[in-house]
Amino acid sequence: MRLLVLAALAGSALSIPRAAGAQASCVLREVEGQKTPGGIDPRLADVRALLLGPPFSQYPSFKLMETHPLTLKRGVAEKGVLTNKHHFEVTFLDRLAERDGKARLRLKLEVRTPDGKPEVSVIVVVDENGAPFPRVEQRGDRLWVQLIHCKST
Amino acid sequence: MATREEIMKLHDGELSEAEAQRVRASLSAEDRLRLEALREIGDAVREQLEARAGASKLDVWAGISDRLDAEPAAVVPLRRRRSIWIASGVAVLAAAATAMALMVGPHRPLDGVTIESVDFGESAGMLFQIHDTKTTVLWQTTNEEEQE
Repeated sequence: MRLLVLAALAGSALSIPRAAGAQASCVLREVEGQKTPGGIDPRLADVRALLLGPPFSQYPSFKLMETHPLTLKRGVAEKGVLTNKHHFEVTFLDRLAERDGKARLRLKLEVRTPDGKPEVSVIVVVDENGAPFPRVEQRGDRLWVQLIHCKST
Repeated sequence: MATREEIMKLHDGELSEAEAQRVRASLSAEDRLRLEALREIGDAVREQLEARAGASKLDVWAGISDRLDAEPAAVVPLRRRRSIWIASGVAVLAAAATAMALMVGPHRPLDGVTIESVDFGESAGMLFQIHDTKTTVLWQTTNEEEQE
């Protein structure tokens, strides 16, 4: 009986990380920066330090335009459309070994123009519950920023 | 219209004087915007790093020896070493900026945002690290007309 209980405990202990490692909960936020006064949107408080520092500090106004919650399954691209009509895909590739209780996630971000031309394809590693990854598109006096961060599942 | 490689080399000062003159003469309005954007970002990053370097006493060996005692060796996953390639936009400036950022403050290489690979497509782009926030930024400049 004791063996059975131990086996059951071992099985459950092994299955939990495997299930948790099969998906990632991430968020892609769209932010617009402008050179006109306006301050930083209060909803961007977690990235305020980033946006106040150079080179972002050349843009005094940042506004959260859209939030895309992403429940990512390993190897499956999650697709969406940005407010500027560009198309994005985010794919959860891998969960790297934890250190200090913190996992690192490999993600692939692809952005295409409205007519389908590849604009960027990047593989990035982020900390779970860590700082967001910023991808910036500078267009004249405006910035379009996509911030991706992931939470524990 | 200059090629993306020519613009990057012009920005990085990697062209001979004759080549630079030829490329400057061939720049379109869009090329000039891209070149200006590269200069703008480069200046901002350079100013930040120079200010930081000036404000701190740069003693590389002291920093290394302190860490030898304070931290166990970090194991870098093979995957990270395997595929770090950058298609077009990571200029010498970005590399220098990253190197300086590594030197002038505490750094844990497995923390924060790291880029394994990037393809900028047809846009100009660059990567740079913002040390305070442990963040690597992917920054691209885009032709305004094609977006509107």
